[in-house]
Amino acid sequence: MGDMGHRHLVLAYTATIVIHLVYLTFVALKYRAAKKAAK
Amino acid sequence: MKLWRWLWLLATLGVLAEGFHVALFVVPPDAQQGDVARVIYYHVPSWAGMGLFFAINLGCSLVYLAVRNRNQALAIKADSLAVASAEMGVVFCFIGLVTGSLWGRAVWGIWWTWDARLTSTLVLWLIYVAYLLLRRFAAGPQMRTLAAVMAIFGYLDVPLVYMSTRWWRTQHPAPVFGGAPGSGLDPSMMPAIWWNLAGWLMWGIFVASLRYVSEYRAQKAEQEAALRSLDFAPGQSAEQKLMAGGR
Repeated sequence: MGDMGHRHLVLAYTATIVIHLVYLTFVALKYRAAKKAAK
Repeated sequence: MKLWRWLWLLATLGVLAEGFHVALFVVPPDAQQGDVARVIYYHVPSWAGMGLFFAINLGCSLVYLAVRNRNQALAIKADSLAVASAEMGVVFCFIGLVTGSLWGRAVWGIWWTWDARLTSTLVLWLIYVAYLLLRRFAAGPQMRTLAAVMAIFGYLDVPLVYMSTRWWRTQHPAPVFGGAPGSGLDPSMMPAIWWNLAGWLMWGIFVASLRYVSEYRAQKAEQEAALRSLDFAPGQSAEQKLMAGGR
């Protein structure tokens, strides 16, 4: 389990951060569009 | 973006960085599983985030149904927060499923099994994805009412997910938190849980607040456009318009 355990630990942390950043990008684009529309 | 949001983001990144450091370099490895058990420090906060944001979605849906015909301003706020919290909950739920699957592959030797906890969680995720799809592909006040009702029924699966490891003993381990006497993590591992729990919940609140603002502005603009097309002044009711002679 050693190597695979480490690989899966890294993957789990990476996946968490990447998924949150992808969603943040979507939210930021929506936020910018709403701000532009309000002007 | 307002100053308090920048300060909140800064504090959140600080807490997340400390959580990352404590989880990987400070707390000891698990006695049985070794380092792979450190997945729990990102896995558990994801479930906590999911529970928090789906509960907010439920509360906002109830408020929307209660005030939609009496207080348009509050109804728009509640509905916008319902959308933002549902999306955030879906993201946390998805991360919980992904990290759980990666952890399961390393410990059980399988990516997935149809056990009670995993299946009920997948169903919960699908319910809220369907909720968001309904909102995406339909329009108007009836859609919002239908979505709010769907959110209330969807939330019924949350207690089922929580109790699944208590009612049925299948593949997923027994509850670590709030389980039988003697369950729980070793106290030396708890700082990593607390730091990451605080950090990811703060992150969720930050992102959901941004999403709320954009949704609120969009709904407000949509409402104003609808009123303009009917020749209503902003904030003017049908009665006020009649009193003003249709103007």
